[in-house]
Amino acid sequence: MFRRIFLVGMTLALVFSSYKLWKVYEFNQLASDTRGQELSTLPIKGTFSLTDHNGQAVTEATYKGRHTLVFFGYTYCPDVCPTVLLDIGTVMDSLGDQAKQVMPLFVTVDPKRDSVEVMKDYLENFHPSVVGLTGSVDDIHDASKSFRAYFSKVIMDTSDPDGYLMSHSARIYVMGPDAKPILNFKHGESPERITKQLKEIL
Amino acid sequence: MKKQISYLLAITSILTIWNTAVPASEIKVGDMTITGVWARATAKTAKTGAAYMMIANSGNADDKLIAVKSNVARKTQIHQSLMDNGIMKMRHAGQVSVPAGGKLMFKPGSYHIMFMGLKSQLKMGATFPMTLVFEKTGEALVQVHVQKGPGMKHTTN
Repeated sequence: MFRRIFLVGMTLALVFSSYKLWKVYEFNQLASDTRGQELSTLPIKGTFSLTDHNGQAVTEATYKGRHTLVFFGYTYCPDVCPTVLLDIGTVMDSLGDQAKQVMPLFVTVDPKRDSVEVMKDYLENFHPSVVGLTGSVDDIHDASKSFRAYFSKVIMDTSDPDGYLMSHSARIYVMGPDAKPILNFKHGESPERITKQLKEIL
Repeated sequence: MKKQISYLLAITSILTIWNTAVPASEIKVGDMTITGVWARATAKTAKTGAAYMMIANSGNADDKLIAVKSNVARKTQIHQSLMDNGIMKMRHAGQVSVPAGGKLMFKPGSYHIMFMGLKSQLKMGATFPMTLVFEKTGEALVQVHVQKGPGMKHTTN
């Protein structure tokens, strides 16, 4: 009797883990695609209503006429976000004359800490073309939903009001001069590859 | 006389090349060799910072980095950035092992020392002390050089 239950259980476990392994394999295959993924396969709106680091109210229409590179992060992050911002700076420098046609937009996923002043001060360390965007918690939520960008709060120290970090999607979204999505780059894409692909579409 | 002068010149140039090419921040404590210790320069109002380095264990025994101490921030911890299904996450790594004959690399996007509650701005070109605490080897005092990004020599460029 128990033997039968055991066998059934084992078979189910085997089936389940095979399914899971297949899903991981499938995802890894997609993830290893090194070209920017065409956004026609992922419906995103790319709309937002936020405030830039100079205190100006902006929407996606504000940047019409130029391509925009939209990416999410937060200033409390000392490691990944500065790296991405440095990479974006490298891309902008490599574009030379064509840099005028591109606007990098750094959207915070941590509006509670990243006020207009904090964003302005933070961005002084990076390429002057980068625009920081912040806003109310609701507006930030709407913006990230519109890009299908995920983020969540990870509390590390309940006694410290600053004791939290943010997990967030690490893609760079490229929008056209009509504020419509074109393609996106996954995290880790080299500045050289990004520059190359941007030059193809500019 | 000429021979001595050229000899002297040769030694001087070798020494100059040696000193500029080899980073001065190499610390050896027991079997641990710590090199290339750098921290990213921060914005004036930044509350967090990160430092990176390479730790090599040339001994026969595994060891662990169990703590890091510094005076530049309220809290100094070992953290790890990692990608999980397209989501960028960061976690408090606690203790990290440096295997016998192996290396532990702290670099952007991976393991890093995180400074939380920075007491003052980390300015480019500055240096500050940091203590690494190993389970077996004990404490190692290193000098952290503040730079804009990775791969830059800590000379005044």
